[in-house]
Amino acid sequence: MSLAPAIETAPPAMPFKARLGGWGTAILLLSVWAALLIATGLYRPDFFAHQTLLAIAFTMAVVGVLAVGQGIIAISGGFIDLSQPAGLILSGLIAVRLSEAGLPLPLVVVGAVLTGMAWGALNAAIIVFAKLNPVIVTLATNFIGLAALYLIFQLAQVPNGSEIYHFGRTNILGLPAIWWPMLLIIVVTGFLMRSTRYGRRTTAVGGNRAAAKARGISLKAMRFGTFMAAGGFVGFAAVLFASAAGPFNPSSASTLQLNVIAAVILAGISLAGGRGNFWMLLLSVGFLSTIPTSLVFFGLSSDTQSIFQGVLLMIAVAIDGYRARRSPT
Amino acid sequence: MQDAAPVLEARHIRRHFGAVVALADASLNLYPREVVGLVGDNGAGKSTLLKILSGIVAPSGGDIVIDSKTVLLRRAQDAMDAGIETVYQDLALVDTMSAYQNVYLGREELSPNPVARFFNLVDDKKMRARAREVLDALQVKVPSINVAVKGMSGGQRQCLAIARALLWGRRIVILDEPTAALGVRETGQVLEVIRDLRKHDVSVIIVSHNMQQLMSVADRITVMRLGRSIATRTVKDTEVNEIVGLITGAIPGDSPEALAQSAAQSAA
Amino acid sequence: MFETRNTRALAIVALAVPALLGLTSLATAQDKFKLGMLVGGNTCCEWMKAQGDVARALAEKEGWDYVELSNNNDPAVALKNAQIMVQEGAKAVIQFNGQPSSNPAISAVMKAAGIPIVTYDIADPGMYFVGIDNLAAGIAGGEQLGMIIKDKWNCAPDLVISSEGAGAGIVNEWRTGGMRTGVKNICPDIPAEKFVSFEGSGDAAVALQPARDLLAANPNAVKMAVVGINDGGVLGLINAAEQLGRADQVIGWGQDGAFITGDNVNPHLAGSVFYFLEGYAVYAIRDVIKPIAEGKDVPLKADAGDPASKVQPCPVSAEQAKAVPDMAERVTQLLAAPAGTTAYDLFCPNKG
Repeated sequence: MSLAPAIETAPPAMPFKARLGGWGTAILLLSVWAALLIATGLYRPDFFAHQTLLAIAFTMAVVGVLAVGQGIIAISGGFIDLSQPAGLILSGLIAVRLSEAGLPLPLVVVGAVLTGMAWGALNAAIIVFAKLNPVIVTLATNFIGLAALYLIFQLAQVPNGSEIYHFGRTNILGLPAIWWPMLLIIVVTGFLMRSTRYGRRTTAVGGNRAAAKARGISLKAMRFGTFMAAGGFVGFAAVLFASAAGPFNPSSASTLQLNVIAAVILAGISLAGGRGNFWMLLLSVGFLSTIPTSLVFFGLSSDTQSIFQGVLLMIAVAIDGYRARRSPT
Repeated sequence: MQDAAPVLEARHIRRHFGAVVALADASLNLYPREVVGLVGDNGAGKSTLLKILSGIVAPSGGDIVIDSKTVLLRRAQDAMDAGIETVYQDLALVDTMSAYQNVYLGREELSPNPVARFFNLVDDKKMRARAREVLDALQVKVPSINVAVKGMSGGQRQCLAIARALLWGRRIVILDEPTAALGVRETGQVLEVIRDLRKHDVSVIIVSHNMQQLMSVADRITVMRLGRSIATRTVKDTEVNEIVGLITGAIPGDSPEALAQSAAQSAA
Repeated sequence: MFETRNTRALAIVALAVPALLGLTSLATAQDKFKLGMLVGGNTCCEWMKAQGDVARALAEKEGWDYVELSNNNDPAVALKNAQIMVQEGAKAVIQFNGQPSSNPAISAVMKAAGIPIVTYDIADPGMYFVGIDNLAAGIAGGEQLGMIIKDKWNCAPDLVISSEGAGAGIVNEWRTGGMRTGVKNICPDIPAEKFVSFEGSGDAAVALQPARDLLAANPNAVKMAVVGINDGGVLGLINAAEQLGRADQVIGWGQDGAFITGDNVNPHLAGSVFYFLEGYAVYAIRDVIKPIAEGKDVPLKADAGDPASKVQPCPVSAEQAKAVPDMAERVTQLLAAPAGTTAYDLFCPNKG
């Protein structure tokens, strides 16, 4: 009566691509980055200089921290957070006001991070309670937030000579002081996302909401958690931003958005959710931050940068779509 | 086989949705280490009964008794807490995560180190080892417990979902058409795993349209028709034709007395 | 005088408030002279809002009715606002339209309704031009910077860097290009290849990254003069130089005076050019609106070269700027001054 045929259970060989895993992304990114560096260096040998390193590293700092926040939203199935500019400006304004009040830098950081988290919580609350799509909600909150910020202030600037002002202009071990926290955040977040229960669940919710819910994971709690964590990173990025930006207005951060999203996609953090290695952000952010510097060394005007970045974003989106259709790793 | 009290008794379960009676009177017993098949035509009330036992739908009347205690299953979590694991057709795996991560989804083990624990770090080593152990015990073969399950076959995925029940110490597993979408070889693999569950003190309720398959894996079969459980047969004392007859109504169901008697017999 | 960042996205939200403000004034008497004011954008910049506030206060002093709408830096909104002004029965209108593509259409609407319209800073053939001569302002600032270059570097800088704001179109040409011309007027022998540009969008924060890249790509430049479309754009390069440890190699001179007052002035910003944007209404009312209200015939002068009223640019060194009060204080003093007194009269320490 047994219907069970001989069970041939020799496991199928693991596909090479799967075995390569996320490192495929790393190899690809490193190769293009290296190609860009070498090409620029061949054209202009003085490209390999400390000034270049500083220019690129300064650009990396804010984008890198924002990308971590964006990555958390993406991996958790929130697609993208379009309200980062408003969150950044709001937190940046708080950082300016706190430093104007003479608070020490650590307290300024705490204030900005808490502001960013509150901003994230607001987004999450609208998404959860109004049951709306995160992309639409963050598009709207960014729009409303920036408009409201214009009513509050037109220009803000950390006081010349203050602690935070120097923070944005100092080097540590030959690299910008604001670069190091970015490095730390990417490395630590990358580790935590893969090795904590919270990180696992964030990834699971992004990979398959129904499955995660069926295992007793609260989707609402995760939504709040991810948006508040991401908001906290936006708040921290705001400190780095305010420290270096000089006077900024509510629309000063809008140009960052595309770079951040491109960095997340290039790093292989899927916009579809459930997959991604945050360490890759170091490479994608580094690569993207090198492009404008290289272009200038090639003698191209800075106007061409936007075109390059737009094209690159398109390529990144295409790669993301291709990955989503193909292997999961 | 039934030498102990049932692990699960569903007694005269009723459920209506407004005026529509989905379940008129359904009863089902499940004994330790037993596999019970649940059959019936479409609309006979099988899925409503499954949903009630999984805590997804609340019954309008009747009792559910687990280990001689009446329980209320208001939410899916209640059923899980009561030791019932339901494996649905569409499976509940996250494609992008690895086998062991899926098995531990929602119940990740934290590290024993208090500092690491404070930082919410999981104990991957332990989870991998335990997952491997359970998969070995059930003779589930997957390419690697460390790669994403997306590339795995339907059978492997189904086996993983079942293994999860065992790992989490469930005593009752409900399977809804576990082989519906699988090829012959994969079906065999899944049935083998279901048989193995018995060895691990797990009882199984399995819903399937495939009579041959049920006869090969189940100990008893309960037949439902028009919202009622009309007959229960021991597999070794029946044959496919009789079950099919009961399902279609060609063979009348047992009288209430006979039902009670057959239940008592099983218990004896 | 324009807004370099596109804030069109704010239009819907910001439209509601000024529109309501305008409507409430519908109920007032019809026979009084009514001045309509279309501000560039209430939510953009301090000075745009101040332009409205000053116009309102001056209109009230004259005993006129006053209606204000915000163009939200959006050409379509500006056109719609012009149509609303016609319905409102405004007898004369002042506008600042930072996105001037709709100006010809607005001119047509106003001409059809027989309402004279004053435009600030960006000329249109159908509108009375009141504003700065941007080219003259650029040249004036450039000459001041040129004198510093001559003094400090003997007219031999390594670079003259332009922080452009291409989004402002011809205004950028006038101001940034004018500054280059001004530098050359003082130091005619600086070779062409010493002049380099980058796009800074007139926003210090946005200019920062391209400015860093430009500095990195010119590692050997140690004597750098910076001009730009406004203080923000120039400050972007100064901040970048601070980050790269090269601030002492940079001397900047801005336009618009946004960052040359207060106690937060960057030491490498040597000066700027004040336009006193907040006070334009004094010129417009003194030379165009009031004569019209009194029934006089005012000839339509629409050309920036031959304006209905010319606003004098006021180049100031950082040192001189310390004596200039901030905008809020300037507005207060301006409104307290006798009618027709301009901000230039009151505050420019360096009258030409």
